[in-house]
Amino acid sequence: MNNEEEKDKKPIHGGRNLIILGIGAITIAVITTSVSLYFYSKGDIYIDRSRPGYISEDEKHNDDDDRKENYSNEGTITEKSLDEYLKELDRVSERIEASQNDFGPDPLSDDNLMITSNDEN
Amino acid sequence: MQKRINYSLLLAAVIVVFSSSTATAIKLDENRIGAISQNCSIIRERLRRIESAGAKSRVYLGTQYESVYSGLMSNFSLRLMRNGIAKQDIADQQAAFESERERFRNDFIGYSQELQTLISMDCRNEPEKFYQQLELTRTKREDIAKSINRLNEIIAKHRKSILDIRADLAGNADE
Repeated sequence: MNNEEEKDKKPIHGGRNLIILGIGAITIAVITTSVSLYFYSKGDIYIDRSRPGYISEDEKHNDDDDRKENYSNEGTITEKSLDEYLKELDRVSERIEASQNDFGPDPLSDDNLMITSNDEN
Repeated sequence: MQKRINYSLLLAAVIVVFSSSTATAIKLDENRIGAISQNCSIIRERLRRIESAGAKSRVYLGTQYESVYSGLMSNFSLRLMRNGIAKQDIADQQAAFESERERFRNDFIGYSQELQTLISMDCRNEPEKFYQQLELTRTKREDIAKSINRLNEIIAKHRKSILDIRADLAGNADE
């Protein structure tokens, strides 16, 4: 009976426990985030297409590249209107030409991937 | 006698087919096998960069093709129709462009899947398998390049058709 009374009288440090819990949670969060960022920066960063700044500043196309041609579907067909159409078509063609070799064979070549036998060196 | 000749021909055909299939199998020399195993982490890193660059190019080219199809070809066809001008070659080019654009999209998906498989492979311990997958990925990449060329050809034909219409209009004006 006395023991039970003593137990009831033990002070409960609610505030202190809450602080310990908070600090513990923050410490665990910092450690796990650091580990995740380490692995992310080692490899996944290159295939993460959703990350901000995925296209670096020097790789960004200029504003004109982002322009979308929109030829009016109303109006007469005259030499002048056809010239305007050709001008817009040439503009977008130039942009396509600039990227048309983006899927060339070189990046996956043996040389680029360092899969070259010594005999060829 | 005739039967014997037939059997000989059949045997020859089997040998030819077998030898050609083994010839296409990739034979890697020891140096290359060693290079793949030794440079595995560098190779994977480069492949990841190639994947990243490819994704960017895909988005960029896709936007340009969308601009050609929706912003130019479709509107131009509609304008021709509203002016009572029927040009079958323009309609054909528009349909061919849309069909080829769809092919470009699918080719890229196929290529991406093979490239991802390649990146996830254990090049250090399975260099020969890795190289086979690399060859497959190269083929898929080549499909995209071919698709881009075909789309360019359609745009070039389309441009020529517009010039023809313009020449007709100029001729009519002179008369």
